[in-house]
Amino acid sequence: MKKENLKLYIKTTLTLCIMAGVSAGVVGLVNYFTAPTIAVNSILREENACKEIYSKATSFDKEFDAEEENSYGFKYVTKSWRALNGSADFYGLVFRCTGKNAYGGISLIVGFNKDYSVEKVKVVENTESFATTVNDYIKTTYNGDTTIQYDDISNLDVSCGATYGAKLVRSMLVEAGGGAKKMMFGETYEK
Amino acid sequence: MKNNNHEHLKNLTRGIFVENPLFVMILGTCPALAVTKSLEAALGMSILFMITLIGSNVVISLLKKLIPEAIKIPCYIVIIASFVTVIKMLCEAFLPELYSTLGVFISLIVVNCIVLGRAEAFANKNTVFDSFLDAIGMSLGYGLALIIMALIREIFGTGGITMGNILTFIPYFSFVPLATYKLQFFQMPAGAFLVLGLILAVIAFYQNRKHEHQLVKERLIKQEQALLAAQNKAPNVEVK
Repeated sequence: MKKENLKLYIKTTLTLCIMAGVSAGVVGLVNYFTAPTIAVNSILREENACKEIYSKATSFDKEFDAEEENSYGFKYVTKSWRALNGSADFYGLVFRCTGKNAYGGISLIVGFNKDYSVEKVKVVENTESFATTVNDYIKTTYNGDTTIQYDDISNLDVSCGATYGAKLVRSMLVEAGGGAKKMMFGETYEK
Repeated sequence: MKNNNHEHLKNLTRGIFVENPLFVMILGTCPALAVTKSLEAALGMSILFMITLIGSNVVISLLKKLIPEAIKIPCYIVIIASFVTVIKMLCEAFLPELYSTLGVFISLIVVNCIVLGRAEAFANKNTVFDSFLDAIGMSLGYGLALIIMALIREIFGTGGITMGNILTFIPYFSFVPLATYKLQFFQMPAGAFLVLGLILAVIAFYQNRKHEHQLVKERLIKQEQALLAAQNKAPNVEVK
């Protein structure tokens, strides 16, 4: 190897290493300062979505957290809360679901009533390339005037211009609905 | 000195009108079609785009002599991507509504042709100050184009203007007098294509007209010159 070539290779390698190192440092530093605010924002978004779903509920007691223990073996459901009011009247269960596909990811909050019907679906985060189409689909299909029962979810039409996103939403709701049945019928509630 | 000032001014204004990235060079059309549903989203995108372009242009211009020719494009991409990531995190933390509205299009600024194009075509060859002015001009031009498109789409699509929902530092304001006559089509992707197409057609019409006027003017000057030349050549004949 010629000495000149070696010099060029070393210079190129060093430049790339320094560039990558400085960039990583800057990104890491900004992340260090913004991560707590982002986490607070996420919690606030969750709380607001829960309140929008069950506006009469005064408290949302934690029922399930996949980070602590995933005894139900959920794939999409990450958290769940019981929607209650002051006199401990139970309105339903609220689930936070997060899923990904080739087009991005969706995080949503869904409320299931005591009769296993869908109360409302609120999108917390949508990074799908067809995000607007998926949001419109959720609005018209799940938040419309028609009441949707848990058993009907798997038969819902997903053709909307963002079929894969709509399928992901449907899968998340099927899992959350199944979870609601288990939690309400199982040991947690009937006792 | 005067010439220098003229050059600086030219660098600043070039991107706004003569070389407008969207309406003249037809660059960055993907986000332009996607984020111009509302004036606020367009304004937010313009601000984020401006910060990215100014930052990357200045840094690239500063490091132009240190970056080896063979790896300049990967280096530019790293610099631009770092700026976009930082801006994305700051936006997610302090402007969450804007972050959720623009979504994937914030990350896509990395691959926006305008940013990489200006780095390669301008910042790479010019001084830091000139690159800074170029970035301001180009981002103002792009922002202006986005705002024009968003204004048309929002007014026709919703029947008015609403502010303060996405950019929360702006006081809430809603003026929707034509809500009953709104045309939902303008809020859809096809509406975006139509608006962009119509604006480009209007620009092309004026440019063509200007070009035709120029041609006519040149032809008239030529005819006049030919007539003068013919008069000068013609022998003086006295009529008795």
